[in-house]
Amino acid sequence: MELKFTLNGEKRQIDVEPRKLLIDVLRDDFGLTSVHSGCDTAMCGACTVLVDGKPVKSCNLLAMQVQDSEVQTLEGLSNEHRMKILKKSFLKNHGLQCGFCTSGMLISSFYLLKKGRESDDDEIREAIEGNICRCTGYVSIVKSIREADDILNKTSLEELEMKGEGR
Amino acid sequence: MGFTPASFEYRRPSTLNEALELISDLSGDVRILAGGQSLIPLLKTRVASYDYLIDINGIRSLNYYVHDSDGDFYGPLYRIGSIANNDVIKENFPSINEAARSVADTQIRNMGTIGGNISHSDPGNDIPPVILSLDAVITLRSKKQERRVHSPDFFYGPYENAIGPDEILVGIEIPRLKANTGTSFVKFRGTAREFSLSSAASRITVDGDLRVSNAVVVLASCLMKPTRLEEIEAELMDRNLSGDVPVSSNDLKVKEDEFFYRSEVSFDYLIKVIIHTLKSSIRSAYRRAIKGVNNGA
Amino acid sequence: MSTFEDKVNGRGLFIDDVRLPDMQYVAFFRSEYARARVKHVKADFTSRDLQGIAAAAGEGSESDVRTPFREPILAGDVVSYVGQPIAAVVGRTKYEAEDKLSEVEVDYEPLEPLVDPEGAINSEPILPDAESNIIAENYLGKDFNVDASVVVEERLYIPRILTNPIETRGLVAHYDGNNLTVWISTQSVYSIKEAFSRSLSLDPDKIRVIQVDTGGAFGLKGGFYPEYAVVALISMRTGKPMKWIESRSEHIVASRPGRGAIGKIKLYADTRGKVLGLKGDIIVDAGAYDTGMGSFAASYIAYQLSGPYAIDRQYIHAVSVATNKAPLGPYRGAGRPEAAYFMERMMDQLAKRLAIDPIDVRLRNLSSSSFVSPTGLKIDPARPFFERALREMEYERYRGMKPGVSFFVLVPAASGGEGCKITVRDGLVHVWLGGSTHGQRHDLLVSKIVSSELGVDRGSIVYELSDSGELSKGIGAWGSRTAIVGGNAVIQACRKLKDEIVKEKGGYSPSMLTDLNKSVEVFADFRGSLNSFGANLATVQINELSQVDVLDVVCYYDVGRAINESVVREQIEGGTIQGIGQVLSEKLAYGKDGQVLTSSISDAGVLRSTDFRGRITVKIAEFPSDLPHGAKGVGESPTIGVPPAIVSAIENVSGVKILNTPIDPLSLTRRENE
Ligand SMILES: Cc1cc2nc3c(=O)[nH]c(=O)nc-3n(C[C@H](O)[C@H](O)[C@H](O)COP(=O)(O)OP(=O)(O)OC[C@H]3O[C@@H](n4cnc5c(N)ncnc54)[C@H](O)[C@@H]3O)c2cc1C
Ligand code: FES
Ligand code: FES
Repeated sequence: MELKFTLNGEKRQIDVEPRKLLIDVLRDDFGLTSVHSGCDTAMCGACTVLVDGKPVKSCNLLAMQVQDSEVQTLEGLSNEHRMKILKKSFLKNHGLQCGFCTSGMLISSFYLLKKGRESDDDEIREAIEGNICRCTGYVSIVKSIREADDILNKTSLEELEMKGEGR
Repeated sequence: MGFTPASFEYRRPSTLNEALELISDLSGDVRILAGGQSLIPLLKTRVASYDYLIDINGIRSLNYYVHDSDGDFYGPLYRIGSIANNDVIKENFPSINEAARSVADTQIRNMGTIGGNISHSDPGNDIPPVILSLDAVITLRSKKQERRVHSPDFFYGPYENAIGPDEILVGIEIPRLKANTGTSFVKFRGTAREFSLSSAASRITVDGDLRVSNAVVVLASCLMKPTRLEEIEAELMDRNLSGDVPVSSNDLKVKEDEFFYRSEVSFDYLIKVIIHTLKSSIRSAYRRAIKGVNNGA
Repeated sequence: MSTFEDKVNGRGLFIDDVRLPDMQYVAFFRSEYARARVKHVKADFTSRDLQGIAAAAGEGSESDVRTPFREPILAGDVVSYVGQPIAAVVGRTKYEAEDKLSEVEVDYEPLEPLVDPEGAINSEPILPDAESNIIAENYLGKDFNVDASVVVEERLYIPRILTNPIETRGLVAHYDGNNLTVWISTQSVYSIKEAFSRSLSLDPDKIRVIQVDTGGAFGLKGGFYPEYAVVALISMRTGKPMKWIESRSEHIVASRPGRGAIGKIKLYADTRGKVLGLKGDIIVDAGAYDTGMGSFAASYIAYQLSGPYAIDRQYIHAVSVATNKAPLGPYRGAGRPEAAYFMERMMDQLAKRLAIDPIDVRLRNLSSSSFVSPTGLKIDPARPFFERALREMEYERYRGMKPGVSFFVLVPAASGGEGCKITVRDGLVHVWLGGSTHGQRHDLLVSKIVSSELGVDRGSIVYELSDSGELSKGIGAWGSRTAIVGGNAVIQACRKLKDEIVKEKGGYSPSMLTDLNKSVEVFADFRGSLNSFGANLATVQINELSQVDVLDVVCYYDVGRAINESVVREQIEGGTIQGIGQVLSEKLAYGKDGQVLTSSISDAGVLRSTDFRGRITVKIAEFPSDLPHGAKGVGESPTIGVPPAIVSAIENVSGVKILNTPIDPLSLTRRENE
């Protein structure tokens, strides 16, 4: 069946079996292996991607459900200023150990930081509630997001707009 | 074991009429697919399989939210995440906001729909008790007819409700609240638990003396279906609840076979949790109700 | 390997990312019964086609597994646990493979399963050729009689806990007609290689095992599993590359959980709290087959039961029992947390009985000199460390909050040593280590040591994932061993490289490496004991619904010398949450019929970001070991020390005696109702 959608900024059209999950289309048909699978009950969030700008679990969607939508994976967000800051902060603050949960964590926190106002630790913890990490105990992840958030809120809105990311 | 759905036929109508035609004409096991957040896990583990899935996500007319003087109107495809982030809803119906925010996590809320949450009727779903506490009306439509079902007549039991095999839930209406009314939803989820043990939704109206003039209290999650607790409601009438909320396990007139008991915690503990959720929900609804009096007067 | 930069950019290469031309997918049909006779199976691959035994590998597998307890790679006439592989099918996609599963036919004749390990000790054997269900039995120490004024006796229990790394098990195997190449998510390519060789009776020289990025392991991925052998055999049959990725549901029923231990412990003491003797039974629920860990665990717990305490008389009966459950494996700590939990709980019970401060009871039983226990456990002077720990953890400051305190000794699995290979090529220093990283930042360990030993810039050091085709001999990463023996091996390899350069060129300077093309390989043996102490303090708050909020966890651990302090901290933070999970929620639950009741990763009790919002304070004690880099172990310390400290705090705050985990909130409410 024909699926048309925008993937990481490019219009795509492919023939998929209707039962195929979005995660498998992204990984198998488009080679986007940042998207990981960690469970079969939609609980771990390792498969998180953005659909129309919002994080969803790609293991719990039929690919057909994104017909005419816009899908972004970590690969497609690499030029976003917010994502660059987040990644730097994850590296600096050891927000990853094995790195398996990391893409999902980054996408969930990217969405949080899009709000454009400071988040407190509780909001950060709630934003990643749908992402399980077995390695870090979340401490260094929360710290990484916190620091990225601080940096972004110090950067003025004008600067962001100059970088083409204002709201 | 656990990764992939079995095959099915997939349809993606773009109008409601088309969808209604399909659901009445296709033979075999037919299911509506909304957000898929409850349905897809069942398909993936191959616990369930269907001949046809009718994906209603392409029917744009089913995704709306309208707030006006008669009340609030939801299209079934309105996402739970949209409810959670909608300030108008938060302002007017805090209990809906609280229920929406307590559903799973951000990602699941972003896909899950209000219609799906109600249609699925899992005892652990958070929207149903609120719908019941607010006297909502649910509109169901088939190729032949449209009918309006009052929320007390809608829920039958776990995964069972008034939706007929050829019907689609097409709208939810929530009547406007009377003045000086407060609403609240509270749920109790143990550490690292996916589903709640107990949830409670309340709607309390007070008079000028801050006494309860109307009380609706719904208990859910631990019951087969969301249920109004009339004895407790009666107990609250004419009271000022600024002090303690007079709810105890003696007032809990729930029959044994009404419990939906999914957890390994003991029954005694469950009762304790139930009383706690009821009290917190009533207290918080009452506080919101008197705010109106205190501000308005 | 992919760097951490690659990983934040989504460019890691995890096992499910490995794709070979013409690769196919294997799926397993698993037993629906805990115990049954299998009368008939129809599938692509059954025990008639693929025969063999899953060899033991990884931590605890040193001793040979007794024949009747070995696990067949596919079940034959009987199935012994829910989830046991009975048949395999192959598809071009995983969808197709799972479709084929629905065509598999199996006829069972259900039998009565044995689920309770204590009951199983004297029941008829569950395995056809076994004489009893006792997989291993040992008496440690020496029987004694002692005149004691108090005897405290309790039965303590830790249920089975799933390892639950976010990346499940998985491998790709390709047999090209001569050689078997395996890409795998693992803690050790060497244990995997050896087990392949033994399971498939294949010449080890024809097997190459390559580690890919490994998404967490916690003990799970040091082992060898029936599925691995089946996947390789199917590749040998078909000549095609085969992939298997475990689903989370499979992980829950069929991977190897840890813990699952009962301690029936008796302390004999005088009225001042001095323990005169320790007796007990350690009963380990080993599951249906022995994986090495099963038979090892009970004695290992017994061996270190007295922990840091100088208890002169000890007599402990250790028994590992077969039950109709998935075989036991190691979970972060593997025996150490069980021992510490049992002993620390008992110390608190003794204190309560005598109405003495639990700190004083502990002090009374700690020696200021070295001590060798009757079971053979050697420890350094413990008392000075504990006294210092109380100060460092600011015990006095927390006192008003009724904190729980625990004290333990970490016995790392350092014995045996480790291998390391260094290849200098194109100005880069490539390093392979015998133990495979799965999140512990071996890259930083390696670059720090190599840069200081060889005087080269960190940017020119490349930490490589393990590959049996590169480094020929190694052991693996578990039991808090890599910083110790892995670090030592890296030093030895660097020194060997330097020596050789000096021999060839008459001297050494880092600049000589830029146009050198050279490899050295070492296996740095290690036989000593390197036990280190650790202490924890925890405070909790209990709400009206008896829900426990952990507020503060303070860790004071001897790490020898911290090679990288932030890595040490991270390890401790991650382990602390696992420790909290063990106390509050983690459990693999079984029904009386042996069915697995746990249905998902959340249901297994793995904590989310919102389940713990307290504070973790890490204080590092550095008492360097004799090794050149001074390192001791740390990876498992938090899973050992945190649970008993938290349980103790909960007991102090609630006033309710707690023997088992996870804590049932109801048990904490009883007091006010009574
Ligand atoms: C990990 C996890 C945690 C969760 N936690 C919670 C929680 O805490 N609280 C909670 O309330 N829910 C929870 N859920 C369930 C989920 O949020 C809801 O059930 C979901 O929102 C249902 O909506 P949906 O649109 O995804 O429905 P779908 O999955 O698409 O459909 C669910 C059912 O409703 C039927 N249906 C859907 N729409 C219609 C319609 N318009 N007319 C007729 N039938 C229809 C479908 O045929 C199907 O049978 C959780 C789910 C997961 C996977
Ligand atoms: S793989 Fe999607 S939530 Fe776990
Ligand atoms: S870093 Fe390993 S799961 Fe998060």
